[in-house]
Amino acid sequence: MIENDRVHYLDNLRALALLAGVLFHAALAYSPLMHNFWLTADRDKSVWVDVAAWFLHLFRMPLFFAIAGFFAARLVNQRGVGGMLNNRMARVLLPLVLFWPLVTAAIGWLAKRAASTVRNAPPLLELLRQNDLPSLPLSLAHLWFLGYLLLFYLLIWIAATAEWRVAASWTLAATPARLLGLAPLLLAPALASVSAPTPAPEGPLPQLWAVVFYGVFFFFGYALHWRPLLLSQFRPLSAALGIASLAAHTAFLWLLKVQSRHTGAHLLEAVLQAYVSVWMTVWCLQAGQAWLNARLGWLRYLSDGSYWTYLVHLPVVFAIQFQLLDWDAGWPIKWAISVLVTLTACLASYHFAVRGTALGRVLNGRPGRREGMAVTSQGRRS
Amino acid sequence: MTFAGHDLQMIRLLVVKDWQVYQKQLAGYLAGLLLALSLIGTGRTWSFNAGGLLLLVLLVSTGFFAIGHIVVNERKESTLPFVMSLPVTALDVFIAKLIAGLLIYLVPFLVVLSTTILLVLATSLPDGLLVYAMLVYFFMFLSYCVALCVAIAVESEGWNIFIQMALMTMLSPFMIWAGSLQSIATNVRTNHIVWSPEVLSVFGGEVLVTALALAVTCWFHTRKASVLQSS
Repeated sequence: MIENDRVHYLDNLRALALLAGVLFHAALAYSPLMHNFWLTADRDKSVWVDVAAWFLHLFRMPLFFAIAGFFAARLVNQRGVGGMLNNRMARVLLPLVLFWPLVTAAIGWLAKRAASTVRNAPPLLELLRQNDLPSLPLSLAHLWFLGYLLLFYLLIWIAATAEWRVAASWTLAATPARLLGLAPLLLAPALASVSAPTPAPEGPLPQLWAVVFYGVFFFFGYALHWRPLLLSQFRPLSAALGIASLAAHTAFLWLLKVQSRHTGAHLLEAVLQAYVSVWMTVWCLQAGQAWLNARLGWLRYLSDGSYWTYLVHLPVVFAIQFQLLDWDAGWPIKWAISVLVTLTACLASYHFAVRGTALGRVLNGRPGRREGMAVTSQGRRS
Repeated sequence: MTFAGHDLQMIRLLVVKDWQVYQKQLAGYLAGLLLALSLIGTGRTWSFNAGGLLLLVLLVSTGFFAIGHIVVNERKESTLPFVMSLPVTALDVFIAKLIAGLLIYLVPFLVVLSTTILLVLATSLPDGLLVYAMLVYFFMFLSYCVALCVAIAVESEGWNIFIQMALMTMLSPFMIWAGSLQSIATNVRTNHIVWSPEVLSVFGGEVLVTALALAVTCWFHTRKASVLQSS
């Protein structure tokens, strides 16, 4: 449903994907798999966190990039490649430049403070405490996706300027069976080149596997704009995709548990991750189109505040979870507190300090144009 | 709009023309640079070396093809007689070529330069490598400026190819020589960034040669009465 030039199901999906991002980052503190690598890793952890969080992880960002690709194509259609780039510089590059130093400085400060105050320090914090880790490595933190979005926008300019239409014609000619059956196999080598579950490519330079993996989803979303009926072709497969994804994820977790060092096992893990990513992204898009294709008040508000919330949520999550490390309570309670307090703080700050200000205009566009031109500012929120 | 007798609007149009003509190739080079950066970012030894090598090769070939495209080909394809029909002076054409040539090269050059600075300072690579890398990059920039000036001033295609090949060949000996400078050799594997007097004098020399090449070519063109007048 497109109303006032807004694509409601994508708006709503984006808002839910935002929520998934906060849930995911808050859950990592209680993940056995991340215990040695996460700053707020808690004593109390559960394998069920791994089961749920890593399932979410496999399609949360692919879905973001597919939505971003769709809206990039829409911008190109409305304003041309140059107009799209100008818009993206304001909505993606500027927030990256503004928020990256603030977010990394906040995380660094919080970690150093926690290293000297927390009694039950997790392994990574213990390293900081013992000065074995003199400083945190340079990283884009959770804002890495902004860097990759910029890279994909640049690739659109490159493809348009160099008149490369091969990839576009392949995508446009792809059938649902090929996309669901063969595309994951093409993604598997990229995933096989890194550890499982896939790490966040948060380094200062792009990583080839992430360019390939997330790029495929971005350009799938891009092609989706030009093939609006493609999504409806997946509808008969919807239930099967969901069930098959759960089965593939179960097999993936079993392989992780076995911890086989055989190359074939790692390749199989990559294949399973690729299938879950593609199938669940398609399932989410299709489900969103079927069930969320209407203006829903609370989701609409969340959608407006989603960019701000996503940009600032990680230091807030850390600030809360550092306080919870010495508290003797079960992980579900700590996780629920960190999620609720983070969302409340982020959305309240958006309502009272961002919406309607100059910063709000940078993030959401001018209020008068938000309704009519909101589609132009959607891609950046992933 | 004119400035010191030059038609700035016409110069701008000529620069835009060269930029647009070369844009397609530039897009290809940018794609290559992104691939090289992605290989470096992957962090494995083989991909780091392959990406670094690709970065240098692309930078050299970008310059080589930029000069060929906007200066040499223009003569071969007789575009100059058309430019002559425009209300421009020989010096305007020279200035436009110079700006376009520098602009086209500076886009990938600055991408590579800033990436190298980021890479050296933000990763586990020794910070002392920065001084050495700067010397090499500015030598590449110097080579490009000299080759561009020669291409603008000398009409012989053979001489242009010879000069470009000679400058490219000098890159490797320069890298070896710069690496053997005492302050570079001492600090290149450490985290000390040392701008010693000998390093600064090499930089000074690079700046001087670049400025000299630009000044001589400019002086040469001020003496031309028409676009096609040869030396």
